Amino acid sequence: MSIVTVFVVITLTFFLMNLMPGDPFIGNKAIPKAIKANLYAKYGLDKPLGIRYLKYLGNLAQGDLGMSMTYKNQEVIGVIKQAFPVSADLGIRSLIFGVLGGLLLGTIAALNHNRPWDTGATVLAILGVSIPGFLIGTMVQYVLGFLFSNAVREIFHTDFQLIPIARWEGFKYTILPAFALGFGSLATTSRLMRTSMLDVLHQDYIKTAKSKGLTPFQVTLKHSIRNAILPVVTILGPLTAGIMTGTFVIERIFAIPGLGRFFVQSVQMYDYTMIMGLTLFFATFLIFMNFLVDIAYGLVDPRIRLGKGAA
Amino acid sequence: MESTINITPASFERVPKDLVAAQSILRPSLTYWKDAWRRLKKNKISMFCMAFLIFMGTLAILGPMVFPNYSSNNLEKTYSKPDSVNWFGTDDLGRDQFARTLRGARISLFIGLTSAMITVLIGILYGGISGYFSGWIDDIMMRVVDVLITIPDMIILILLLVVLKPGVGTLILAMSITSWTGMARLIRGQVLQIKESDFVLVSKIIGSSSMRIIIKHLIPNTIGIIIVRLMMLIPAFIFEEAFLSYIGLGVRVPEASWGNLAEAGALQFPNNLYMFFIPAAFIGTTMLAFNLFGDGLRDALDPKMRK
Repeated sequence: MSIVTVFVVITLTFFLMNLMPGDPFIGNKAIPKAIKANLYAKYGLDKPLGIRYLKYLGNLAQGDLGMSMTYKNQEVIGVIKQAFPVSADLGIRSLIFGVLGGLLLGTIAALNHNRPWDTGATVLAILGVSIPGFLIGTMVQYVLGFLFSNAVREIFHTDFQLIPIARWEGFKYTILPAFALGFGSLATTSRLMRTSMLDVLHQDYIKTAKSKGLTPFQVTLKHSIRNAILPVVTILGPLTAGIMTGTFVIERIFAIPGLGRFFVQSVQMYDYTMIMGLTLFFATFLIFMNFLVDIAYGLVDPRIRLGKGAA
Repeated sequence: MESTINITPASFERVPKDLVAAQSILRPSLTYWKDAWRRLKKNKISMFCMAFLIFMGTLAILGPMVFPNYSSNNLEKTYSKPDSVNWFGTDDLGRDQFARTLRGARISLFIGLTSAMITVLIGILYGGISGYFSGWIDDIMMRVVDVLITIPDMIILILLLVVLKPGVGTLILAMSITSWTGMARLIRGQVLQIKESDFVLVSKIIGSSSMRIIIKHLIPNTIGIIIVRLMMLIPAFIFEEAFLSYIGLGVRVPEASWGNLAEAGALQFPNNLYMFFIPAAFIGTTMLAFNLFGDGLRDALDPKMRK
């Protein structure tokens, strides 16, 4: 199934991209015809579409994604190798922040149903769902990086930065982008966890667990959370997708040299091979993540065992 | 304890049926919609959000008529802070931000509403056909959806937007093309479920045509879910448009949308903050209102919540 999807993505992307008006060599200056023809020949653009498609598939099978058309002498694979770790780092941090924070918040809300803690968590969740991550990113940048530093300067007459608001040079730099990127996931997770937890808390087995004398902590950890977490596992796939697309903007806002920024730039510059390579990479990555989530679901839920033929 | 029971022949007289009383209706009969409306009215937050959305909708319709100058430049007065003439200030070319915000409301809401409706429509048609005919047609149609659903939407959306000529229409088209699969699955599930239910069986037995079953049973039983989904999709599309504008693929200037206004504001950062915070506040509050109203509507339209 996954392989079919990857193939569809390759084909779709390839043909869509070649339908694009304009090409990578439309610059500010008009390029002489002869040079243009040479450039076309160099990147194989002079051949018919079908042949280019087959050739691309052939190269792909050998793990070759081609050369970038706008960054001189840069292989697409090279760009991915260089920029993806940064994006992955940011993405994993956001996901951990979002999912763990969401689980915690949702659990607290459900255990304190209709009390102030619940209201607080619900308000936070609905805010998180409603305010786009890129707005949150810009706002925290402003409040922490600008308002706060200015206030400190007014009062203490020294330059002081609580937390770096841009670039990517160490742990401190990751906090704000990861927060902005993960906040939406946090909200979604906590909403889902709250509903699912409330549902579980009314079940008979919770009563049984309580009546056989387990401490509230044991009941919560082993019985409530273990069962309530299942729906959350199913949305891990979409959450990963959301965080990945989120990096396109968050990386731009915080000036992080990740893959998302490359993708947006390559699209704006008609860099065929780069778009193709990155799309393929992102798509395969997501499909693979979904596959992992399916497996994780089987591990968490003992009722689901993928048997032969069931997958 | 001796009590005499008076039994007279009159006791055995038949009490005539009070036809008037039997026919009179004590409580007003509630249709599905009246009942839903009654429950919605009880939810204060939802009602407030509805009022807010109606207000926003009115602004979007009437605002640009009253303040039509959303694209005229005034190079004498650029980057002016909000004052009595330009209530929301002016931008880099001296365009009135108030008129642009209103215009943005119209464009953003229009995009959200239309994309959501197209998405739902495609979803209903596809899912409906698939679910109604079932069998091998269903198999093929659902396998196609299975493949499409695993393709990351945003990536294909970005590609489509690059390939097609940018504009509001393209945006709507591209966004709806990439997001109908979830809706189709939902509708198919509903249709399959209702099709197997007893009331449809009875309806078939008494000889109703397919058309009648669709109109009388399938549609009324799914409409609640459809409306709720529609309400949830609108903010999602407004969000997506804003996101795309942020990476330069959304609505292009001089046309205004909340997304590209916020983006223009973010570029000014950290100067001229009004340019960022005003559109950001509009996006945030409207999304919030849609989400809360959608939640309320879901509770109101769910027949299981009926008491």
